[in-house]
Amino acid sequence: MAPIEAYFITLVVVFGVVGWVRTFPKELGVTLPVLFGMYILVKFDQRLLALMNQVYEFRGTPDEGFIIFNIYLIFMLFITLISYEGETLDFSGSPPLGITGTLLNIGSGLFNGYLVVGTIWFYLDELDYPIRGLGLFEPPLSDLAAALVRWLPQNVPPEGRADEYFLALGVLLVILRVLR
Amino acid sequence: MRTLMRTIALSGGGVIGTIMGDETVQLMPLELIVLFSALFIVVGFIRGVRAEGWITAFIVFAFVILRIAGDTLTTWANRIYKLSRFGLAGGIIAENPVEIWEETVNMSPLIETDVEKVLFRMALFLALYLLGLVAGRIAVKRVLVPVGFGLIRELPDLGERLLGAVLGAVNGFLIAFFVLPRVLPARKETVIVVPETSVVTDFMNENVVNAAFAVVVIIILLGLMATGGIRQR
Repeated sequence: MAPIEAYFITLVVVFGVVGWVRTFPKELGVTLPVLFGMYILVKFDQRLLALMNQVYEFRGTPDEGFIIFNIYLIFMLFITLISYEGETLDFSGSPPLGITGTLLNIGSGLFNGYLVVGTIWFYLDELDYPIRGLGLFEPPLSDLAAALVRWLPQNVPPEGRADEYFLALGVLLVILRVLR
Repeated sequence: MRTLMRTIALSGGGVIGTIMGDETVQLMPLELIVLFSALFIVVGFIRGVRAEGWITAFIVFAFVILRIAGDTLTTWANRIYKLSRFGLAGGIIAENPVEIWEETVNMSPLIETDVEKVLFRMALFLALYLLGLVAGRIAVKRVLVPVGFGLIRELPDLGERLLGAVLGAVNGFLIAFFVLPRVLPARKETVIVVPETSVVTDFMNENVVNAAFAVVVIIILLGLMATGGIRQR
C-alpha cells in the first residue's frame, strides 16, 4: 500500500497536468467555485451534517466518521465536477506564450489540486482516517505526511479563520470576473 | 530633511537610533517590520510588479532551500573551503601533499559557531535576494526614454507600480520575517526578558499567511493582466 502522501502528491500533479492542458483562465474559473465550496464546508459543515442526519440518522453509529467523510467527499466531488463540466466560469483571454504561460497554466492547475485534494485530506485527518476500515490507510503518518497536513488549505490560515480567507479570495475572483 | 539616522545599534528587543543632534529614538521590532515594508513598498513602486515578482520568487526559494538544505549547504561550504585551502597550499602537486592534507583535515571549519551559521544563512539569503533583483532587471526589459540631457529607464504604468508596491510590502515583510528573528534573539544573552521579541515572532507568524495570501492574489492579478483578462491603460 502506498503512503497517503503519495496519493496526495500524485493527484495534485494530475491537476497540474490538467491545468497545463486547460490553461490558466479556465483553471481560474475552477478555483472560484472550489473556494466557495470550501467556504461552505468550513462555515456550514455542522448545519450540513444536521440536515443529512435528518435524512439518514447516522449520529452515534459506529460508521459515523466514515459517513461524515463521505458527505464531505461527495460534496467536494460535486463542486469539482460542476467546476469542470458543462458551462463553466471561465475567465476569457488566452495565456501568454512561452515559459510564463506554461508556468501560469501548471501553477493554476496545481493550486486547484492543492485546494480540492487538500480539502479531502483535511477532512480525512479531522475524522481520524475513517477509510482505515476499508484497508486503505495504515497509521501512523510518515514525517512527510505529518508535515504536509500542517500545510493543507484549512490548516494554513490562523485558527478558526479559514472561512474568511476562502471567502475573501472567492469574492476577489468574482469581482475580477465581473470586471471582465 | 529634518533628521538623518546616523548610528543604529540593536539593544534588547528594540533598536536605538541616534538622530542628528541630541535626539534619540527607540524603534521596537514591530516598527522595524513596518520600516522594512515601507522601504520595500517604495522599491516595489519604482520597479513595478513584474520585476518585484522575481524577487518574491527568489525569496520564497531562499526560504525553502534554507529550510530543507540549510545544514547540507553549510557542510558543503565547509568542504569547499577546506578543498580550496588544500588547493591553494599546493594540493596534490605540492612537495609534501600528505602534510598539507593533514593540516587541512585538522583545520577548523569555516562555519562552526552558531553565529557563523546564522551569518552564512543570511549571506545566502542576501545572495538569492540580489539574484532576484538582477533576474527581474534582465527579464523585465524597459526602454530608455530621454529626460533632459540624459536617458532613464521608462517607468511601468501606474497599475503595475501600485501592485509592485503591494508586492514590495510583502517582500519587505518576508525579509523581516527571515532577518529579525535571527538578529534579535542573539541579544537575549545580555537581556533576560525580551518580551518584544516574542511579540514580533508572534506577529510575523500570524502575518506570514497574509503575506502568502497577498502573493497568491498578485499572481492571479498578474496572470489575468497577461491574458488580457483585465483591461490595462
